[in-house]
Amino acid sequence: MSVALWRQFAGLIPKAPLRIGTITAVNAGTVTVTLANGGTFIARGTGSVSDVVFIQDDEVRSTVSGLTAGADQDV
Amino acid sequence: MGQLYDSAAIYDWNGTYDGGVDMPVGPPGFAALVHLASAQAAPAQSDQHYPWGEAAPIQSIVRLVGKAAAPHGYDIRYPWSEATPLESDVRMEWSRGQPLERVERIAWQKSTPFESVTRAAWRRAQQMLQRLVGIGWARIHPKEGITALAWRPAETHQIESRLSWRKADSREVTVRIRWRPGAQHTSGYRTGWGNDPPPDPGSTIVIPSREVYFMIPALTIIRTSDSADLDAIDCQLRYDITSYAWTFQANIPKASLALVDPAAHSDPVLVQISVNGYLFNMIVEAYTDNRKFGGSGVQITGRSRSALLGPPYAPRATFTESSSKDASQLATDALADTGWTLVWHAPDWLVPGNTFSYADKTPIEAVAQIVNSIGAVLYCDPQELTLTVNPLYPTSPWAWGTATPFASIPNAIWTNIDGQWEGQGAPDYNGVYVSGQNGGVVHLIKLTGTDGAKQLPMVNDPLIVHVDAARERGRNELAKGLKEKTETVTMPVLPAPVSGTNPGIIPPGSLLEITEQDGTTWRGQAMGTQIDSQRSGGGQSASAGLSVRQTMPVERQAS
Repeated sequence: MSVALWRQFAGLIPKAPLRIGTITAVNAGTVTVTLANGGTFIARGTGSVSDVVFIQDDEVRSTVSGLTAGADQDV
Repeated sequence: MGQLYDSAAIYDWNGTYDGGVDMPVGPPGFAALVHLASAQAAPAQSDQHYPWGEAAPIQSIVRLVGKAAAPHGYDIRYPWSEATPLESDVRMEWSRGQPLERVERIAWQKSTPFESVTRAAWRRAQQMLQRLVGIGWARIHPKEGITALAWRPAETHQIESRLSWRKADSREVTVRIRWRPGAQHTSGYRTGWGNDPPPDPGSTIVIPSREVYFMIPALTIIRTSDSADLDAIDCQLRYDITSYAWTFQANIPKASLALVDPAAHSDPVLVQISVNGYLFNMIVEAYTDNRKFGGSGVQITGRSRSALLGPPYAPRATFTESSSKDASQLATDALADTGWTLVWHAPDWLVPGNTFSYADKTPIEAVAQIVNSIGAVLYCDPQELTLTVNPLYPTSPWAWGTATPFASIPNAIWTNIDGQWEGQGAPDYNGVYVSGQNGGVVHLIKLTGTDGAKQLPMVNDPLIVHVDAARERGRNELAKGLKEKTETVTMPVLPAPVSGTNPGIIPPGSLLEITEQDGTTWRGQAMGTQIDSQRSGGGQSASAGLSVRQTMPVERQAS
């Protein structure tokens, strides 16, 4: 299989989305994260309550700083 | 009567009359004479009846025979008595006249629905016009509407008369290209004399509805460097709305391969494809060939020159913008020194320093990073070195009804529409969270009038640092999330140039209004285009009949 074909194929597979959420509870080895839309789920990793973090593949990647919540927008 | 008395036969009976002038007859009391005279007068009288002119003297005899006059009087009465039944006939006719009058009344009643039909037609005309020209014109006076409609046939007429000029034009182009090789000459083609005025920006191109559309399909592929003709057999050109380059594939005779053989040239060979007068500057990237008994064929494939901005041709770079710049400026900078011009037709926003950064990316990938952050797309001009940034949905699907379409396509021009409806079970998404990353903003973008509770998965991008960017990204995400029906519309490519009645090659992203066979219309957005130039009967000869069609997947909102 040529490299080009592999790239084409790999391009079809969706990448795991990068999510942003706020830590609402710290558990043993995991944290409970609340997303902007109010949904909560548990991700592997550590952090402090009220930290805003990037989560990918259900794993905390890093903290997010300086993210400003703005007003709802109608389109 | 004088004749009667002169007759010798009358007076000779007793032989006493000497023929004297003064004594023609005997005295009135002489009965025998009188009787004789009357008896002989009767036959004479009957003879005399024939000529009417001599009837007057006979009248005196009629007086003598009083009885004969009586039956004559009866005769006169008879026709009078026969007149009576005639009179009754007349009355019969009058009595029949009444139902006739009733019929007439019914006819008048029927005229009412007719009037309503007329009104309906007016309403339809107004609605059509409204859709064609947009909201601003929606409430124009019906009389004005007539004027506007009347212009359409006039435009149609112009198209026909233009055809001969167009032929002359394209012919001259071919000559010019062959005699004067050079890329810049091809670009000068558009400014030829006799061209129609280009369509007014912001107005709808209305293809006139005709019984016959006259065109001479033309396909030429030449090598740009020396105008060598490849004798192309057929050609297919494609552009997808999310792409950044046109692609093509063309069948050429094996003898022509040497002109463009990618293996024999270190740089990609530039070719110019002309389809019905529309020019595409492309590079040849690959070919496939086929050898068999009795013939051989070669198919070349390639892309537009914008492919040179991406892998594998363009060098990769790593870069961080340290100063604050508009997104459009960042994209323009990424294309610096490439010779390409970037036109920004999407919302723009200020990106603070040290936000935009990329590693090991080609120029087109760097541009795509910016463009994708707001859900916009790139369109490559087929002829010029110009890339245009457009929103994926220039008009939100929920606003298509009131927008001005790019072109109106009548039932007469399209040849085929294939519909495919999908979206069963998909929720009616009405909100999405759009987020930046470090130093960005978070906004809930929702459809006006909804609570935004049915949400698409959250999207985030480092360049979402301003509400305008968040809005634009969210708008396009919501538009993508709507239920849709894809209609694949096939229609001919009207010969160049583009005018107010000829959209030419319809660019992806155009809002179209399409009239169905039953006269109803719908709107949708072209999500790509494919131009097929094919020989009749699948012929493999460049001399066989040619047909040129453009096929567009048109996204239509399923309500």
